[in-house]
Amino acid sequence: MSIKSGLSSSWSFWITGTVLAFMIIFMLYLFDDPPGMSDGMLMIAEFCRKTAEAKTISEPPPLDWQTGFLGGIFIGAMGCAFISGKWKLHFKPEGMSGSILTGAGKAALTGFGGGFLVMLGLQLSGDSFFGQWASAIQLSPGAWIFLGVFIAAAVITSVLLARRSGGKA
Amino acid sequence: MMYLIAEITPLALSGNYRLAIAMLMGIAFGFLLIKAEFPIGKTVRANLALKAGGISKCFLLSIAVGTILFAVLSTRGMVNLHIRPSYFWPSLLGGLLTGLGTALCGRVPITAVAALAAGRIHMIWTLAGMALGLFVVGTASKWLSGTIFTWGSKLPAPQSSSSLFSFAHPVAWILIFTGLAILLLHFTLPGGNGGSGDNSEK
Repeated sequence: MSIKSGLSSSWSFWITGTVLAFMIIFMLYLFDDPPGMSDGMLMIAEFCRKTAEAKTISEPPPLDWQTGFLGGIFIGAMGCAFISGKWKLHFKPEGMSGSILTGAGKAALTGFGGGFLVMLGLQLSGDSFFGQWASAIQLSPGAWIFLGVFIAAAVITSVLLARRSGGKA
Repeated sequence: MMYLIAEITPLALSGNYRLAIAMLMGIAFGFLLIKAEFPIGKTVRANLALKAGGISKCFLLSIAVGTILFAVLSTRGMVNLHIRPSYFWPSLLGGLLTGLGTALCGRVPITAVAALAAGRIHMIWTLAGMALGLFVVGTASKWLSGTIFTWGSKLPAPQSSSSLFSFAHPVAWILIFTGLAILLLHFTLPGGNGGSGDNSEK
């Protein structure tokens, strides 16, 4: 398998899963800090609040390792999506029924509501999803409770939603 | 060799090196997220609705491998324990709300950012909802501190144990559980096998 085809094709779960685990542990070694973006998200939210109140950008956005990591994810995901041929301009979720306007309307409702619930839950639990993932690896009881309930709630709701929509995933 | 490993301590980068390496790690992480199809909505929904198993297997495997790696390296002092304080009811309620939200929008913050980068413009709505969630919790933080955050006791920090390969150690049970779950998913659901024919979004 050439490098080009290796980069453009999908990778097996055992490669991605193993590399992700090594990366999380490597981050613990490199930064000696809780992995996750909870602090970074709070810093960005505080920056947005201050900017909105002042109605002017008086200082540059906060840059620490967590916000840098988030920016890196954007760049890396965009690069990989282009290389793998997965970069597609979508105004509504893949597979959502309806015209572009109806689909976009549904996407706005489910996206906004879902995103709000996700962040509310993560803030209540006290960490980002990536932080909970890394904490579970470090055997945190809170992270295991979070992940157990998260998986159960997400799977049950998704199965019910899929049945309601006639089995379309 | 073992002497050299025992001498390694966490690097704890600081300053511009810390920021630069974090960005590089982010780029690699974003690349891997797309390769594992975490930000691809159709694949996520299929996994959550138990019609595919690629993402679930990848997630479980990362936890299994990461757990054993952390257990081995932390006993040698190469990595330190870094977890945030957690409480029973906030963790449970947080997991429930995040699960419901993920079933609706199919993303968590990192995958929403990666999906936006992959051209899913509708992720703007999800990120806007997340921003509102941040704002609401920030505004209600005093109320939350006096109510939900005080429910239940603080959960204990993980105990370090020297006997890694015994059934008394949680790592052994995590490996058994994740191993069985991966095998079950592998033989009952499609997805996650890689190759050019495994693009679930086609």
